[in-house]
Amino acid sequence: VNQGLEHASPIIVVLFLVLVGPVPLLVRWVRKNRDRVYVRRLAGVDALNEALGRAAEDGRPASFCMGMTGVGPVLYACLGILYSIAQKAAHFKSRVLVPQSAPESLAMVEDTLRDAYRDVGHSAQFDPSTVLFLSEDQFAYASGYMGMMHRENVGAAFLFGSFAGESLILAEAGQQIGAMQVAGSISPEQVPFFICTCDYTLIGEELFAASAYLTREPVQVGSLATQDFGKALVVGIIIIGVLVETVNQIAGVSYFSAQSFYLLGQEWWEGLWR
Amino acid sequence: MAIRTRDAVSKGLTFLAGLYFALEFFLPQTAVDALGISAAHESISYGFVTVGAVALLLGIFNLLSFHGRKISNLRPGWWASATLLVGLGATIGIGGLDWYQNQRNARDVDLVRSLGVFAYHIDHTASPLPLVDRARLWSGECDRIVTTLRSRLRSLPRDASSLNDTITELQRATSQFESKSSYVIEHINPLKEEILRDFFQKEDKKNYDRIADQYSAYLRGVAKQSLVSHLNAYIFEGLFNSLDAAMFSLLAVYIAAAAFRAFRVRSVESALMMASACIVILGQTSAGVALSEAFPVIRLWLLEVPSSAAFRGIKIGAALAGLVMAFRIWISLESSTFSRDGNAS
Repeated sequence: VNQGLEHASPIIVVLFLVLVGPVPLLVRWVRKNRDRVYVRRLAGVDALNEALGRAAEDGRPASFCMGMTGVGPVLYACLGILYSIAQKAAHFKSRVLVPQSAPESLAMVEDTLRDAYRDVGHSAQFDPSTVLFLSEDQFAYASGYMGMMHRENVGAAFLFGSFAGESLILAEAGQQIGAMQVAGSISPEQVPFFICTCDYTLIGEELFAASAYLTREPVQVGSLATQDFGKALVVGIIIIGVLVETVNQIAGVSYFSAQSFYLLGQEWWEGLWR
Repeated sequence: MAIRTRDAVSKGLTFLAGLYFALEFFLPQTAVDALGISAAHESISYGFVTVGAVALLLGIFNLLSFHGRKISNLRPGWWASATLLVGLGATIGIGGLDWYQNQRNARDVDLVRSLGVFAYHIDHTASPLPLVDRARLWSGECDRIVTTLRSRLRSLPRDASSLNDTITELQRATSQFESKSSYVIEHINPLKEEILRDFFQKEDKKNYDRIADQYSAYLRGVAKQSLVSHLNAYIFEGLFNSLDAAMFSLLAVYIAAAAFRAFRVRSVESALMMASACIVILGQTSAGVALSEAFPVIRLWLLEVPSSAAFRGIKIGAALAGLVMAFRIWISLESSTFSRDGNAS
């Protein structure tokens, strides 16, 4: 059982294959049936354009903050949104400030911005100094961000990524200067803070869906479809689990516990590699 | 390198790196060991540390270039940039000096400890070398260490009276070792090794370990009194921790302000949120319990049932989305997303 904590059991391997296996298939399907694909409207994502437009009208810059997000899937999801925002900002001829906490992602962010400006034919407008490394420390980053928001008088603030205790400090900084704010976080503990302080908030997986909604790019839409398929599967497993546990409780038996589900095929799997 | 080749190389490397972690997690321990993945794990971890360190340099370079430009062009707020760069330089410089001082002290302590280890191994290690040669080697090493330590001891302040004994003991012990080694070299008789073993008792190691511990404590004390150490402590404990705490304390005010905004009843949802927040607050405080004993029960239910369910829902959704995104990165599906080609596809 201890080994199972560090290494996947066969059930996890099967679940992994079932959950991510359809990605290439669905991406291919979306490429062929682009017009038939429907992506549910997300009010928070629509608000991105509104916020950028308002900031541009006022002649104020926008900011895109990723909090404490390190290199990983969340960063990639954020980069997808940043790419779209930067393209719009290039059209509006407004600046997008991107303060960074992770030095590892600095080059990736700069590349994404450069690509976005280039792809809409505004390469000359791209200013690398808008991508600024503040600090790796949580509160040093927050204080740097607050200073930047006040100095630059930011008109639209976008907060996407993984956040911790600094979330409210960041969002309040935008509130104080009257910036329109749109946030999205995968950290459920921080979502209430964003709901209180931001105009629109994307919750959990909506952060990953935002990029697909904005770009309608087949890879992203196909992945979104895979996520929905995975969610349906997980909901199904939860319902089965609830039913089995209810029967167990009523009959006072233990037909199929979570432990036995987890260890299903464990011995066979380990024996296979001996 | 042609763009196409560079692309293929980066995709291949991404796939291989992802494959390593996938195999490390999906295969059982026996297979991981058999494939040599466990053995490579440490090197790969060091690789990550190296990449992180290089990336940090990139971050520092970014700071220098951004604020350096601001200062050289005397843009508004240049003085803040100058303060930042001076602070950065001071922190790096003083931190570096403190690290060097600690490293040097650790090396000295290791020297003392190594005398004991050496003495122990002369007697106890199976070696093709005769005892006399081992003793000669040890004598040479002993001389080198004693010389180093003596020169180091001369440079240390001797006003810490409680630690003078340690230094004296160390000097006495090293002198004894010198004379012992000279004796061995002069009178050694390979045919009577068992007699010579008396010179290298197990106790030697214990003695030297004890001296090394005392010496280490003394050096730490000296280091703590140094200017570099004081400055380092001032930067981290005096400035950094205090400023960090000050930023964190802002949260108390901000939470109140945010709660005030959230509690304004503008819709059915905000009314529900306010009602549940009031119940949670009442259930958490003694005033609420005094009003009704039902508040803690309802509070617990709110936190454990609806709130917990929502938390888990968000986490499951985000985890699934993260998994799919990670898979896309692994098989380099993601790389087309931000490029012109990707949009055209």
